Amino acid sequence: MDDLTRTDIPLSQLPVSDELNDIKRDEGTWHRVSAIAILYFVEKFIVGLVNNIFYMIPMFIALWDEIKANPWIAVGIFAVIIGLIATFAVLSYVFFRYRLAEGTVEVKSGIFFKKHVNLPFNRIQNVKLEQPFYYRMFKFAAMAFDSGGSLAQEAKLVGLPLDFAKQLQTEINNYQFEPVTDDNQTDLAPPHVKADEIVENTRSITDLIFHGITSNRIFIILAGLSPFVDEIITFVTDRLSSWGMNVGQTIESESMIVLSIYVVSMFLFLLGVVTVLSIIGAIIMFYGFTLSRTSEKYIRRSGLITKHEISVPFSRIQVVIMKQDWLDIVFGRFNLKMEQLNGQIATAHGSGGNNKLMIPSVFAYECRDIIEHVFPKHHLHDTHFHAISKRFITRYLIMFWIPMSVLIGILGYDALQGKDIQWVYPITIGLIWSLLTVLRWWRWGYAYNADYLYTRKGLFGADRYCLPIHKIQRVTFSQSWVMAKAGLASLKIQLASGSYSIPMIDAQIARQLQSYILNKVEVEAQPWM
Amino acid sequence: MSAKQSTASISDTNVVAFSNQYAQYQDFSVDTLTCTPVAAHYPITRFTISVMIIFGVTLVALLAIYQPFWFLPETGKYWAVRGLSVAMAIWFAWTLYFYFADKRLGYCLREQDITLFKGLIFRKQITQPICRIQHIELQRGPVDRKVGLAQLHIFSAGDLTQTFIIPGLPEEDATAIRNTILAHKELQHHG
Repeated sequence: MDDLTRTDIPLSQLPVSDELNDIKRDEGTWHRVSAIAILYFVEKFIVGLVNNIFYMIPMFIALWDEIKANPWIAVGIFAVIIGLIATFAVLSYVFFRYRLAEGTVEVKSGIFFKKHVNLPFNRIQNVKLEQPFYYRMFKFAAMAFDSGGSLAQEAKLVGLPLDFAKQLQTEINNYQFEPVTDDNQTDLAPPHVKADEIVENTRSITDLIFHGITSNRIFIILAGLSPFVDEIITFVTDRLSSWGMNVGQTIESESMIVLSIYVVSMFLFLLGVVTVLSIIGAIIMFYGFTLSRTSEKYIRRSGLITKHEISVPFSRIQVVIMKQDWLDIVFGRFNLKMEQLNGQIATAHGSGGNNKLMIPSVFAYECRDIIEHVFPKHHLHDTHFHAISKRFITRYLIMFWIPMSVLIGILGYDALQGKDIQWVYPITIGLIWSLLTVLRWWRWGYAYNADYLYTRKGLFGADRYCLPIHKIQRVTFSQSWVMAKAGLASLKIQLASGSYSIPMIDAQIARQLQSYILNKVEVEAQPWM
Repeated sequence: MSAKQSTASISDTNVVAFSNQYAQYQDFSVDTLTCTPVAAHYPITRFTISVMIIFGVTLVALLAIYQPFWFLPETGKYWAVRGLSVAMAIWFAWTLYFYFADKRLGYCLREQDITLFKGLIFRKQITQPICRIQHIELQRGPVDRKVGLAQLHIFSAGDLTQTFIIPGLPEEDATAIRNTILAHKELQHHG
């Protein structure tokens, strides 16, 4: 409880201009945000509308004849839609209130469904500053609070002046760390975010191009383009026909070889388009990427159109993943991911992509250095992984052949009846499945030292996970009677970020690992957050 | 039974001495885990309830098929009855499986952790260190109350889907385990 009184001191000592002090800071009274938040709500409603455009298409189809006869109906519909958006945006703004009091932030919002969120600063996992382009012009920002706990406790403060938002962010972050630093003097020092920040990593356009090639970032573009899909298709078809390609005619008149060349070149062309779009998507998302660090957290800033900033305290990071798709393996690069509390919570709020700390297309040595600050003395980048048992392959092949044998039985029955049989299908499917199973087994690996458990898994790519043993929440040891006979067991490790499994390893090792983990967690009882 | 013994060992006087034992507590090996079965009447209770539900559903479905109020084609009835019997047979097999699985359900409470034993074909040992428990709930449904059982739900951080649940505990054991864990939590916070 003395935590609450302590923050009152830095609250009043913050270098806030008087004007801001009067308007926003006045504790315990409800405030409106700036009127510019109306733009934010407009954007929110338009995005909501675009996301639901598929449901509206039938309406337009139904009305199509009417619209053709009288175009003013369309104009009327659009006027109504725009009017509704404007009304809802203004009303949302009017009903949006917030209050700062005694180390909590309270937000009231909603037109029909009223929502009242009460979020104590010390419950806030993460503070995120968002700056859409219309906010950037006027130096405003939206603040999203991530409580990481229950789903209902999420809040967003839209339309705050940028300076004020930054101060509030610093304040909340400091609040979290107060119990850690016992020295009262340091708490009283006015917080300056910039001063003690060290830039750990930046990403150049070349890096982003690599990232665009290896990871599919096309969905960002698609999301933006979805209202214009029709126009684009018409445009492309027009272009193609102006180049003298008439698809229907070509198929009928040309020989197989020429046709297959067309198909292959078309495929390559599409692949090229997709790659270019993906690169553009990567640049939109990660332009100007900087990863800075202070003594206790990482801060990521990036974005071309909308600037995102998130800061993640080292202590909150539960797992670090070096992700590598097969193309990343070719280029020797990794996407480094640092995850906090369970990802499902973040994705449920539609902020999944930004909640995690992701550093695109870095080399192994950069991963080593970045992870070092979070998990000291780790060996994720150069550890040697032990293979899991080959029985893994047997198990998945048996799992596959049980349903498959039914199909083969039917085919065999057909063969007895003297029918034409298509053995090629079960054989192909069987071969592909076996190949994938072997690949999966080959990628799966585990390793450990006194402080960390490492796992590797993947199919074409390979992702390496670094699990800090002292943050483990729960361990599951599982074994079927077949596995027991073979002296094998599976381990499932649960962290606050999710669960990670190591299947089919030596039962003796699994038992020892389980005992060791329990020993370390229970005796050292280190905080996991 | 053993839950009561645990509470007895961590009585108020022992809680104080506990922090001294803490560092000396060496034996964390999972080989020493001993499985205390849940209440003996839990499997049969669950089985009975499930069978009653299966009967109820079958009865309602049959009534819906063979009622005089609206018309159903004969082929429709034919397939509806066959579909129903297959579905109910699967449900019953499922219930039977859980009857035998529940017979092997058990737990083990140690000074620093609690373990749940479950599964029939796939045997699972889920161990939850007590220092990582976020909160703990005692749940008693109407049936549970009737037969004197309780469910213990144990939550740790980040588990939205996989809660640690020990069903079918005798009521006093469940309360005892809960109190032991709560006492331990307090120890963690103030110590």
